[in-house]
Amino acid sequence: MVTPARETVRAGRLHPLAQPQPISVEADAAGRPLTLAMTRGKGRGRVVAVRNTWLLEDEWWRPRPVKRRYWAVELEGGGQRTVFQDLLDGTWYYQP
Amino acid sequence: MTDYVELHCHSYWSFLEGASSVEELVFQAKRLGYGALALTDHDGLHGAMEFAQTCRAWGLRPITGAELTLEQGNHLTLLAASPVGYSNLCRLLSYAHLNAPRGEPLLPLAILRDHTDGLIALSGCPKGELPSLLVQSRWQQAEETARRFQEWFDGRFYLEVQYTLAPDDASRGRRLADLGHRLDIPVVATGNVHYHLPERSQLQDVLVAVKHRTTLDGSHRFRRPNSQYYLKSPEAMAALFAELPEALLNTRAIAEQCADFDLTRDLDYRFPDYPCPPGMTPDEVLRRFCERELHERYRPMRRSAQERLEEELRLIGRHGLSGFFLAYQQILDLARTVAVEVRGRPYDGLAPARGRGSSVSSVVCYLLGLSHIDPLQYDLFLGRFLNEELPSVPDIDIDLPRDVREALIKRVIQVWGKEHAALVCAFPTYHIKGAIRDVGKALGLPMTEVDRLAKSVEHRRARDLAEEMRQIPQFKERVEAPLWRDLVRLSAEIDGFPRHVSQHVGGIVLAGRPLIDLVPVMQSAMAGRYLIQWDKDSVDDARMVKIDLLALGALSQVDEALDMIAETDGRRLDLTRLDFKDKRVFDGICAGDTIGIFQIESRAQQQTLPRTQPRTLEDLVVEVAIIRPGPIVGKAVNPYILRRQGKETVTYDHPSLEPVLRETLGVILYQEQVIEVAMALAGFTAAQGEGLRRAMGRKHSQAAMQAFHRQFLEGALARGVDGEVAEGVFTKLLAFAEFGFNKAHAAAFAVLAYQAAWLRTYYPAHFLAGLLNQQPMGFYSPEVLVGDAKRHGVEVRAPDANSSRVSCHVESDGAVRLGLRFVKGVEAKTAQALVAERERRGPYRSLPDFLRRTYVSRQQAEGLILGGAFDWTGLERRELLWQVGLVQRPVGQQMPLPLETAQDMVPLRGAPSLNPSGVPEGEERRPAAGVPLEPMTAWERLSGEYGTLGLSPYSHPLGLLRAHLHEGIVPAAQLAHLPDGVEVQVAGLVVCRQRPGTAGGIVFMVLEDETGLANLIVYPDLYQRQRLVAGLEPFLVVRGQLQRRDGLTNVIAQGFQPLRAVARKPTAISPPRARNFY
Repeated sequence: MVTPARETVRAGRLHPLAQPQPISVEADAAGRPLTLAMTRGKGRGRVVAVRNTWLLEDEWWRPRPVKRRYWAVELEGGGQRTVFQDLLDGTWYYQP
Repeated sequence: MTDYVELHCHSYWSFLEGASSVEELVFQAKRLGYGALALTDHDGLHGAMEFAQTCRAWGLRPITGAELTLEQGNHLTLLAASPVGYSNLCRLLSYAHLNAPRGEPLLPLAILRDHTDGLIALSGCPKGELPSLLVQSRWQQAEETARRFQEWFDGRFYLEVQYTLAPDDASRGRRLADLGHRLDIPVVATGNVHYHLPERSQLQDVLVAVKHRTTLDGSHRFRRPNSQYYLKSPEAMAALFAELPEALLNTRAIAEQCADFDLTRDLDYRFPDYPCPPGMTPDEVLRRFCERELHERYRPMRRSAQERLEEELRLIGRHGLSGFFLAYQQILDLARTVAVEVRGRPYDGLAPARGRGSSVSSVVCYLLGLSHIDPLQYDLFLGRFLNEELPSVPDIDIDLPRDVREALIKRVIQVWGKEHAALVCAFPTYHIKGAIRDVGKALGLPMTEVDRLAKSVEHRRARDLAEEMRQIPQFKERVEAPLWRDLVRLSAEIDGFPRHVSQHVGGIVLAGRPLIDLVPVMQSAMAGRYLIQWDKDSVDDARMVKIDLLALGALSQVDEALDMIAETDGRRLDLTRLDFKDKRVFDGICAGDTIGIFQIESRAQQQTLPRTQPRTLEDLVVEVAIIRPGPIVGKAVNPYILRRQGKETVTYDHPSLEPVLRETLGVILYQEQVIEVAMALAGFTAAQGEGLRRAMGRKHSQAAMQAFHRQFLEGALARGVDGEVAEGVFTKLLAFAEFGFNKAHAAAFAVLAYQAAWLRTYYPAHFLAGLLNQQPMGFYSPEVLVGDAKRHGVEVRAPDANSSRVSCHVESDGAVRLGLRFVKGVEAKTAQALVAERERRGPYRSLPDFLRRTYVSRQQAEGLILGGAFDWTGLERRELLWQVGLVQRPVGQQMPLPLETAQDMVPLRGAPSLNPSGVPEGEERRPAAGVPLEPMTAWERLSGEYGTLGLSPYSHPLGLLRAHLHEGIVPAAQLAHLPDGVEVQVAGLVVCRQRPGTAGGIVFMVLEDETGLANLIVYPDLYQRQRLVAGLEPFLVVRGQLQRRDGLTNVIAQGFQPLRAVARKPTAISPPRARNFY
């Protein structure tokens, strides 16, 4: 839906940034996700295909570096999700 | 061989991109089981020869290639599959560099199209044209591009697929594979390797930040997303490409295609043919020339000379080198012609070119005029230069005066042609200070801290940073602190990395074939000059002939002095006809009074000369050779000195060494002696001895060294030499080999040193003027040179707007007048304009007259005033500065007053008497009444002189401060009169700090005061404790114990204080920087 152009912009109409959300994932030995379960809201299901995967390593010079393995997956039933695992502490997140 | 071969790999020769050395990559490839490896650095083959040699040494097959940048900025990977392919690759790289701004190579597609023979093309990394088009879904264009490359490369074009876990990899790979199936173009897997281990990805990030002149934070969009760009094992690649197995197999197929070309074997370099007269061969031409000269030089004829010539001509003929020697003779002729053009007068006396190095041992070189030394007279050993086996082309270096050299380089390239002559590269590499600055900035460390650290460390390897930081109080605790520990770690990794391309100091390569078929050619930083992409080591490995045309400041200095003597005395001296046994000259040398004299002026030399007491030219040859790391590390210097003084018996490690080492009293001092010792003790041939000597120096010779060691021991044992003795001698050779001089080289330099010493003795003013004009050179700053000359009775005068020339010269009364270009901010061009104007319209009549006629900037005018250039006006310097401000008002701010007022109409003080008539009234102005200008104090004048000239012709800071120092602080000149062992204090300007690697951490320092120089010896623990004072303060007070031995006077330092703690003024002047040799 497109907000009409003459409408006043109010704080409530601003969308928050796409913050990663913790998610529970069952993965295989290679770290590839097999099933997902969101801790709140919808997003549960079995992974039927991996469309893409990539590795992000950055900010190693900071106290909290970034090391994440991303997976763009297709769920049973057709849903598509992007999740990643923080490789430093093992936590999984859903990336909206 | 495994099924996978890495075909896309960058080393640190992709400047500020690749994060591993060639050796690291090759070694890792070997460890991972590779049978072949390609090197494909960006737009260059800088590392190609090193890579090929290293691969061969480790049993890998090298594939030569490069990743080129095409005209739209896209990348393409090319591999040489044959000698023709390699030549085409060189041509393409040359075009890319020569037809684009320097440092931004770009290859036009039309040129690529015409040079594809023998080359295999891979579509490149994600920056390739095809991958980019596919990612943008521009299908049609992608198809057209693919067909185009397919046609141009006639079936040798592959689609390059890379899986490095980057976000677009999967889709890009799928699209490339689809395209390949559709158009029947094979796919190939590559790793886009930028380092040998994943851990190096962090250094790679830093390099990218440095390249883009920003921090890691600021370089986010230029850096790679992860650490996957390392050399993976074939098994790992097989897992990544499990669904595209043909991509793996094709790597092997490509490697097989490239097996026909080996850079270490197939280069086909040829030296240019010499243009012989009809019916003659180069051998005959050379023989005829030499025989004619032999009869001229050796009168009466000596049998030994004839025999030596025969032997050399035989060896030269055997190796096919006559054309090579004749080419040098051509260059010598060119040098004479060029010298006449440059100097504008016939060149007589000293020849413009002098050979140095082992070539000086050759009679043929002597007869050709390349060398000034009769090798028979000095008994110079030929085998280092020419022998039966000769693994590489002989090295002939030629020293020239600077101005002649510049012109000669251009002339040589002109005569042989741009296609056949070019300069050799050099690669500045990262050392500790550069690493701190670049890595520190990338890490985002505070720049003031980074700068402070860089200034505090000594000149060392970057890998020594942790050790250095632990010795600096402010940084000791940071070695383990966040970010600083990254600085330490990354500096160690970047140690020795090449930073960028530069020009070798004088090396020119000549080739019979066009050079661009052999190695890529690129523009130098200097307009009109071209470089090949290889350095001297690669040129040597390629067995190319490199001619070194070197500028020797001492030659220029001596030439200038002779010119000035000719001007003042009306005759030109011929230094080849000097009395080489002049007692007065040797008296000065033996006293260590050698400041400014080529090769024997250093602090170390001055400490040795009074002990060795050289009295002949042969003694001087030893003296020149002796102060080098080689003899010092080989523990030869002290034994030599003690034996010369008669304090130690002359002994030999083995009787067979006596004939070889007799002239140097049993110690190894010359490089030739390494060969002669190997021959005498272990039965080596001259060629094997020379091979041993070379292997001792080069970095990738571990295997060769071990082989030679074995051979040496076996040879010695076979001759009945005790094993321990043989081992001991070999160790001495090892310590010595690369860093000693060869005798021939030392002999050439000794002659020049003597000639310089003679000039300094008999023509000290001309000597000084020549020396100052040729700065920078030598061991000491101009300030020290001038101080020393003054103490020898030479009067030195400040620059003068009417009396000075551009450069220093000797006035008719014998004083040295500093040149105008010595004033900071006044360069040679400006100085020439000032002199030209004076010659055109007469002497300057006042400062305003000068300013009106010359258009110098305010800063330049002030510099000239503070340097004393207008003292002749009789006006005070402060007054003159004021006048500048009045005459040179900033543009746009001159507002004409509606009415003239009385205060603007007062004439300038002192001006009327110098301006009798004809000077417009508007110039005769002086500051408004009521603004008194105090004359400058002596300290202010001195301060101004140091600020603009780097010295004072008239006084010394310590001379002015002496009255403020307590009498316990002794002038330097008095030290030699005090008893040995007494406690002393001495103060002065630090002019030199030296910590030779061979001195166990001892630092030698030299202080200068108004009376002379004081030598300090500082033991390591004191220096570490007081490093920030002793190492950084320009003025010091030193407390210590006097040591007088063998005619030498030193102060063994016990404590330092900055002089400003004792007398406040020194902070007000900017002293010249000390010469630090760490």
